[in-house]
Amino acid sequence: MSETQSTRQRGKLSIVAGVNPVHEIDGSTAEQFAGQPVEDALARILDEHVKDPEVRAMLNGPRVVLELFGQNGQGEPTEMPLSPRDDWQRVLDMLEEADAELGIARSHEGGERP
Amino acid sequence: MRSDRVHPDAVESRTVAQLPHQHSIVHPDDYTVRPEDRTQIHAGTAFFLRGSVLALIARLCRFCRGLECFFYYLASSQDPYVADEILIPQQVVSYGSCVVDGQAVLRAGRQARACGKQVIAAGHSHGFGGVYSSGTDRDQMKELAREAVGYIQETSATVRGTVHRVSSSGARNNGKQTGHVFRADFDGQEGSVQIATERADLAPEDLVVLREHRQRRTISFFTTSNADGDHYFPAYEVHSCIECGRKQERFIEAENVCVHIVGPVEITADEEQALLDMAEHRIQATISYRSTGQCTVSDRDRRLSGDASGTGSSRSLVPTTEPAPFAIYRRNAWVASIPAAVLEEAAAKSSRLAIALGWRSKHENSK
Repeated sequence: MSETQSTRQRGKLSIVAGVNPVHEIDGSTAEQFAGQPVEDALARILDEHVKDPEVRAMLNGPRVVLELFGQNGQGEPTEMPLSPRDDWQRVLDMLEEADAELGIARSHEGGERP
Repeated sequence: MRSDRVHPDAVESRTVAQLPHQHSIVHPDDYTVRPEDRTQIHAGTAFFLRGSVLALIARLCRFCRGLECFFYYLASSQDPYVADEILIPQQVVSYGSCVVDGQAVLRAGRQARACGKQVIAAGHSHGFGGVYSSGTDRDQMKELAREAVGYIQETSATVRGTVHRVSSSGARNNGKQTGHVFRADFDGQEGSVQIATERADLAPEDLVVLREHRQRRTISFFTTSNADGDHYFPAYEVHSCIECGRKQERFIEAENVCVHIVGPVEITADEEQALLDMAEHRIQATISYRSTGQCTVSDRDRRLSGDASGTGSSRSLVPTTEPAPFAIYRRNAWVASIPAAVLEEAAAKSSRLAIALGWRSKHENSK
């Protein structure tokens, strides 16, 4: 990692599971996972900081859908689907612009019909 | 007239609504939540909402009539104890279900946070059906607890473990025998800790084994309302160990939850307008039935089936005239509901049933 990259000020990354944030890390912590797939980085963050096995289990489903939300170069909000196998660098790129959210999508459902 | 606005796919129902008994207290508009109220909220025995929120929910359910709908309760991030707004996410609904897909859930959460709010609970309508928590609803309560939607308390308790000697010859430290190896079990988790006594003569009963035990108690609410103005506010409690994930769960019946209504149960014309506009844009009916009895498919179903063109004029949604699902009650207790699709299939085979349901007249039958 170059000196320029390591000293660059990054935004904060909020990890959201469903409708609410479960954890927030700063840019320098996020940089520690450079080069890893998103799912591995997320698993480590949840394992080390969130602890709750219920939240960590959300990453184990076969149909995990991730979404990155932040701002583009013009400061406009942008949503980006993220595959669990994508490189964590995509997250770091988003954090260069501003704060970002990494969402673990969880569908919600109610109903009278069983 | 604006107050008569209904969802284009909503229909009348012949379902008889059942009224649950739920204790409620009305507070003046300037009431602030007290410490004892918070204790009750964290115990899952109280839910606070503004009267305007209750009025919005009732209006939304009337708008959707027989269709279900899903919404979130929002509260200020500074004072998350009183729900003061509702948020309708993008969703797909029918007469028996309402589904918010994962991305729409994420968007709803972002929208709430952008306004300085947080999602504290969720609710939905059962159309003209009775108000209770179905199996799907209870699963949703568990999901909300998993996502930390609700009221969370973390506690740290000291737990005493039981000790078993697992070595008869004693443990060695740098070649020197220091004592026996013991295994301490905490709360039934075997082998979680191993200890060696410093003194060989120390007996197991002399040992006091303690450990800090971090636990989390989450109370989540997923409410049910209907188009007849009934509301049902049960709670769900999850008591979990943060370290090991062991948990105990409990459904708290609405009869044990007191609903605290702060301020008058009324909304302004502007609030009503904003609610109905949001509902019209975000609530999409998946399926409806033509007067001919043919099922029509929504845009979402077209996408799922790979027909992205959406051409086929015969597939467009049309206002429906058929009834919503029928609910069956026995001795005033809900037993089951029959989806309209099932009824329709049965009615296609039995003209007498079709006539009884009002889907076909005797005159048509005789032709």
